[in-house]
Amino acid sequence: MKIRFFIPVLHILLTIIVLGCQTHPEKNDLQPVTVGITGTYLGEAATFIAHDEGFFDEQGLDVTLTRNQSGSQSIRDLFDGKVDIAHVAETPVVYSIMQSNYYEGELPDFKLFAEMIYSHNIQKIIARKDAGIRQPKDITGKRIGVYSGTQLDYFFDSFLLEHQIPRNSLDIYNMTLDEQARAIVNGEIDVSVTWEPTSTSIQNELGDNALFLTTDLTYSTLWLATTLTSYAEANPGILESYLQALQEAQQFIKDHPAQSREILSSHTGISPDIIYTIWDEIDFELSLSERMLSLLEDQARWMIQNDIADTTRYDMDQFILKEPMQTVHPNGITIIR
Amino acid sequence: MTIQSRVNYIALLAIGTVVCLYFFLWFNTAKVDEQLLQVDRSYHFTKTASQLNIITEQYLAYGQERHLSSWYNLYDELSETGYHIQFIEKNVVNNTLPSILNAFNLIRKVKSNPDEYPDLDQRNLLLDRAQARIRSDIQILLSASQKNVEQRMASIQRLQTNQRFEILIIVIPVVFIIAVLLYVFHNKIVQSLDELLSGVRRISGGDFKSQIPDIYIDEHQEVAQAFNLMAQKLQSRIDSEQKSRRTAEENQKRWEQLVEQDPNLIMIHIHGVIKFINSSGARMFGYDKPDSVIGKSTLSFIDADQYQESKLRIEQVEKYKENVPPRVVRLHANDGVIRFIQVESKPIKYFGQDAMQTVGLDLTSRIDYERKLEESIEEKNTLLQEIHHRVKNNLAVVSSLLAIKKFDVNNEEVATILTESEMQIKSMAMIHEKIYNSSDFTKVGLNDYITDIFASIRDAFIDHSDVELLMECENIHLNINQAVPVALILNELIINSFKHAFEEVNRKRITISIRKDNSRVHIRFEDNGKGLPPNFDPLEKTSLGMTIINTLTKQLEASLEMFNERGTVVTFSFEIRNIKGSAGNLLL
Repeated sequence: MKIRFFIPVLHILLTIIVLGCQTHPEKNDLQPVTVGITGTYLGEAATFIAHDEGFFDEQGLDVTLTRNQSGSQSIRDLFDGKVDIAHVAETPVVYSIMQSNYYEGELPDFKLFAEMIYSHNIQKIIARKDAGIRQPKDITGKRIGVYSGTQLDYFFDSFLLEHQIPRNSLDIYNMTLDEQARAIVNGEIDVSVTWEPTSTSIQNELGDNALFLTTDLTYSTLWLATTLTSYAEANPGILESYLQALQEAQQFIKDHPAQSREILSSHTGISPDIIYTIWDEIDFELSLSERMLSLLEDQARWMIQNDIADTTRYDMDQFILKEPMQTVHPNGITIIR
Repeated sequence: MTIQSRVNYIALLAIGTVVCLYFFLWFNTAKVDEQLLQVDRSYHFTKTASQLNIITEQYLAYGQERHLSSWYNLYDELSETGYHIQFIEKNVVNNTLPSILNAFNLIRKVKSNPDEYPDLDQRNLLLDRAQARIRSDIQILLSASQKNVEQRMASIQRLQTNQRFEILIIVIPVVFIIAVLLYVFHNKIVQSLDELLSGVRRISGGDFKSQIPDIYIDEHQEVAQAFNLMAQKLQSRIDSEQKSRRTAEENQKRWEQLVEQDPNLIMIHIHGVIKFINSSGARMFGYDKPDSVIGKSTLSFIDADQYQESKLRIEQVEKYKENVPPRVVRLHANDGVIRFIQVESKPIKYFGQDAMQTVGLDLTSRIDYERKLEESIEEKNTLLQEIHHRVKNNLAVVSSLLAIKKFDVNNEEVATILTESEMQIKSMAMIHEKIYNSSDFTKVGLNDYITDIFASIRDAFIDHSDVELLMECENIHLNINQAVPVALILNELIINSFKHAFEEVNRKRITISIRKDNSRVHIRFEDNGKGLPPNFDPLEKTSLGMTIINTLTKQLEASLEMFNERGTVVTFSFEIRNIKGSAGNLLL
């Protein structure tokens, strides 16, 4: 009777002792992973939190974040072998696939292995009122700043289509977001096609002179985790660990939104108040959805129709790597098979 | 703590657990129901979203008004359903629904105002873009709904798993606690019963001074206390009984000694069968030892003449529980001796049975003595009777001689003297006659004696044969030593009346009354004759008759009075005394 009673008690004590004595792996034991991110993008919140809160470490990863202006730079870094994983929107991906000169070198085989967020209305078109712009059609003949090769291309094209504005009636400049922000504030351009939180910063700078041009064709961008096929095949465990850490970070965001905004602010340099105003526009959730495929295909078709693509053949499905997601978050896979 | 309390605690714990389990299951079921409701709504949401997608395509293809109303109805339903679904990606849904509406409104605007979009290619491209937007957003909704369903199902599964685990968490400790309680309870009861049993065994083994120690179980403690009290009382009772027994034994020993040493018969018998008898009694029955008599019937020793009466006496005592008066029975003892025993019996209880206790006094010696004494008295009475007879005969001879002499005497005075002497001697002879004819030689009945004396005197005086005697006497017997003087006094008085009183009297009457007042006898003699002469003084009278009367009166210590009324009256009275000695001496 007494022995039967003490066996489970002893088992529990031993478990507590073993767990209590368990230590985090030493830094030297961690797998080094370099990740290309967009340093000012709010959609990177989970990455920052996983980094700061030690979720990467817990998964045995020594993650180094490479901060870029956009995902288009990050994916190029991926192709250049500078990073192991690149966070990027769908447009640079489609560009890489459909436009042979998008990447100057030989395009390596790569994979999308996760969607990381849902975002809404983060793309904005902000204009200077003193340029005589009161409504969307007023941008005709104006100087427009656009970050080419990014999702903003697709977004701005939809805007023009909606408002029946010919592209050739505009004076379009290819500018990074920072360049646009400075240019519109300085009056070098009249309209900036950008995304949050840059648009809010511009609005703050222009004050009453700022005007957001609305569209019914809002755009919900993707934020994709990509890696080279060779890397994925060589390090399947790292991708799973990476997703596992991101999932833990996303749960942390749900559980500690205020703390998460603080961390995000510390990484992006954006004030917590600005982050708070657009906080509900982004949901942090891992997935591999049919919508992602549709969106990729839509943009592929858009590129073909606009003669941006130099091929009409595409098979987006071949760029999807499901295994890591299947292991970490199988419910997130909603791709129709 | 009582067994009942322990059982109540365990029952309370079990009931509490069941109630907790009931509420826990109810709570979990409510949570599962809530999740299922969410799943149901999600399915409805998915269905509505799919229909919305179809209607969008149909509107784009055909542009009919019914598609518009259907679309908006479906959108409202989708919004309403989505509002009630707790999506995990709530923001996704909330942001997507307006996006769909905006995109469709754009489609409607384009379809309704084709002139504003003159470039057909651009218009179609815009419509495709809007449709793609709607399709993409609906995919988001479907994905969110699917995830929601999966999440809810996972939650349900988790709830069910947790429920099983939590039930185990609740049940296992409770069952364990109840098992431990029952185990401890069982051990306590067994231990308690062992202690109780051990104590009871000690007590049942006769160790009444031992006490059962305090026991954990209250009911057993009560039983133990009851046993302790019982043992205490038994010990006290035993002590008392032992003391009583010692006293009883001492009393019995004393009683046995008394009974054994008693010279009289002490016997206890039931229906006549002897159960106990002392040594003296055994000896009365002709046995050396009491054991030889025990078991024998008392009636077998009783004389045949007294058998029936003795049997009835036994029945009387046994049946009516009455004492019977003492009685002398004749025993034919075993040693052949007939003994006379005065027995007296009373009912008693002997070892719980109705019995008779008989005590007896051996009267054999006394009865033998009395018999011998009676025989001696009889012999002496016969001798005395013979003496009285001879005295009477001798006196009769003397009297006869005087009568004969009287015939020879011519002198009337001498003849009278002789007659008087004859009468006096007859009177004395008559007393002896009365005595020897009597059974009692010591007393003489005055009535018959006086009557006989009167008759004798009247026979002697032929001239006065008509004198009547009236006797007013109580039947008084006097000792011979007083009877003789009384008889001689009356003899003198009667003769004197015959001689002197009735010369001129027609109806001659002598009245003698004798009465007794306590121990004093009052005698009155009266005649209806001529009475005493004037100036008669009995003390001065010197006649022989008066001398005799005075002398005898003095011997009787009587007071004598003589006077006249209708004749002569003589009274005298005296105390009755039991005077020993001869009557003759009194005359001297």
